[in-house]
Amino acid sequence: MTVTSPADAGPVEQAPAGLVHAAVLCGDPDEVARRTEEHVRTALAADETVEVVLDRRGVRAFRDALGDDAERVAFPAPASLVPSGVLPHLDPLDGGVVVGRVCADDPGPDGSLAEDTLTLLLADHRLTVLCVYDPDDPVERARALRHHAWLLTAEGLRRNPDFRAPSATSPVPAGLLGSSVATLSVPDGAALAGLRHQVAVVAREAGLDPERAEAIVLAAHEAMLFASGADLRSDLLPGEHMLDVRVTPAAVVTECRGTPPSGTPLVPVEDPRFLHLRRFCDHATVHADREERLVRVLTGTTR
Amino acid sequence: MTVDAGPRPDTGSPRAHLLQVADTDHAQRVGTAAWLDRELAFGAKVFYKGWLGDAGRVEKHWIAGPESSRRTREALRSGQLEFLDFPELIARCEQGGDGLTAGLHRLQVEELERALGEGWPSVAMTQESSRRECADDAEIAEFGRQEGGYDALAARAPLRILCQLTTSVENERHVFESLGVHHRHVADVGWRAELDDERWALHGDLDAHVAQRFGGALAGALREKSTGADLQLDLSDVGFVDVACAQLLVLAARAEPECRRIVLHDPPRLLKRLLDVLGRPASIVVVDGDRP
Repeated sequence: MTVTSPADAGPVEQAPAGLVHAAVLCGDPDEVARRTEEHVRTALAADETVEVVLDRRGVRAFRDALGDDAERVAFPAPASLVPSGVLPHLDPLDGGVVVGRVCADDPGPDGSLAEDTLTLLLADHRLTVLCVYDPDDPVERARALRHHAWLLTAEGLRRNPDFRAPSATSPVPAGLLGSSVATLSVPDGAALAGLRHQVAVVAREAGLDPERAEAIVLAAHEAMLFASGADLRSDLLPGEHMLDVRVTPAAVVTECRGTPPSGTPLVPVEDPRFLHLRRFCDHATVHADREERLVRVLTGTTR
Repeated sequence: MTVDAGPRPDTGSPRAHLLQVADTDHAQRVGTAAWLDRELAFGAKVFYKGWLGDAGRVEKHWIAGPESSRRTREALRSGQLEFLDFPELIARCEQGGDGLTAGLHRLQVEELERALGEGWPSVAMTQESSRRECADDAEIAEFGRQEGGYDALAARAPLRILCQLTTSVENERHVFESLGVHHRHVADVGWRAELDDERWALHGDLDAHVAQRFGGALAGALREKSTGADLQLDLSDVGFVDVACAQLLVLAARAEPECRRIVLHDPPRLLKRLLDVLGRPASIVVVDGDRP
């Protein structure tokens, strides 16, 4: 058995209010059950959903650890879930804990992409996702450290210093979010009306009800302003802003990529404009590339 | 691109005095060319005040070239359209020695009476973006008095006025104040405003791109109301309002005295949600029922 933590992991911290997306670097099923038990019991006490998506040994370890409480835990078969199905599976959950190895078990790129997608699109969700990875497998270990903002160690939750936020310059994984149905460039601020119209058409065709369609149009509009650093007095810069609209069976997602004018400080996500944005869509996340040259804002609403 | 495509306003109506806002010279010319052509087609005598620049010749101005209509070029030759260079306009206005504003009013009256005396059925006046600094309150007040002179004339004579505002050549304060002075009838990029029957009707989309201009017009509309009178805002033809413009409404309402309300008639559904999110003050009242 190997139980490891990166030597320079930060101190034990309280979980944030939104998504806790943590890697559990542990190859022993009994230790996995012990390490996650506190989170599981807290969720059960709050009458929230708990799902454990592990193989037979993993399930047995949880049943042993939880005793009678295991009856209130769902144990879906690992084969019932693939990485591309993780987002729509987790999206409806409001609170709770999910423990699994769905992404770790996929040796292809979909596993990594699914982890990034969770980080981006479920950032506002009050949900704890504990991803079990084998620390003795160098590929799994590297993937766990790269894609998880948190580590669940034997001592508790720690920030993961090796975490790398998904690159703003890489496209959103089409396999998970669906291919882009409209890529719209924004030549100037006055063209925003045309852009909104096109988003509205896509949202209507996706079958969103009128109120949700209005919300996604507003979210896309505000995201574009946000991504470009535009305020009331600065227009968008020509040719440096793109908006992709993607439709999946579960959601309509807009991805805005913009380059704020040189010298413009990036707007923190605590900015009131961003908080407003979150009121009108189910998901809103923003991040910049390491050089802070490009900002990407993702907004989404379920269908 | 700004083109006032509405029906020709009745004389005496607040809509007879229009501010046309455009971001670029080209967009301004497109809208102005359409307005000129319509006025000339209705047989109006047109007085055009603009900048000739160093060339000093109207033949070099865009209204004498292919950007204007054939009717406009012919009117320039026949005298139905008269052009006055801004430097000459200022010189003439200052001849009386009683100040620029008084001189401007005198010139406008002279032009109007001369045209009507010559038998023209109506008169139209337009002027290009004035590039006024609007550096202090005194200059802004004078600006308001000059524009008020147009309103006084339009109320008693068959006169239509087009004021051109090109945002790329004016400073922010000029743009803001100009929208305030002209709030009764504005045609801007993507939205317009008209004052009809004491109801300020907005049309189109209000977004961050025009938020500053919308804010100026809103400030002007509120400034004009006497203390205690509500501002009636007809939003039944507004398709979209973003956070920036909704915020302006909220801030304006909070800045008003308690006795005055901003009454929103038939706002878009999303605006109502936005206002709730932003914390709608009690002085913003929503009235539904007129939207078709």
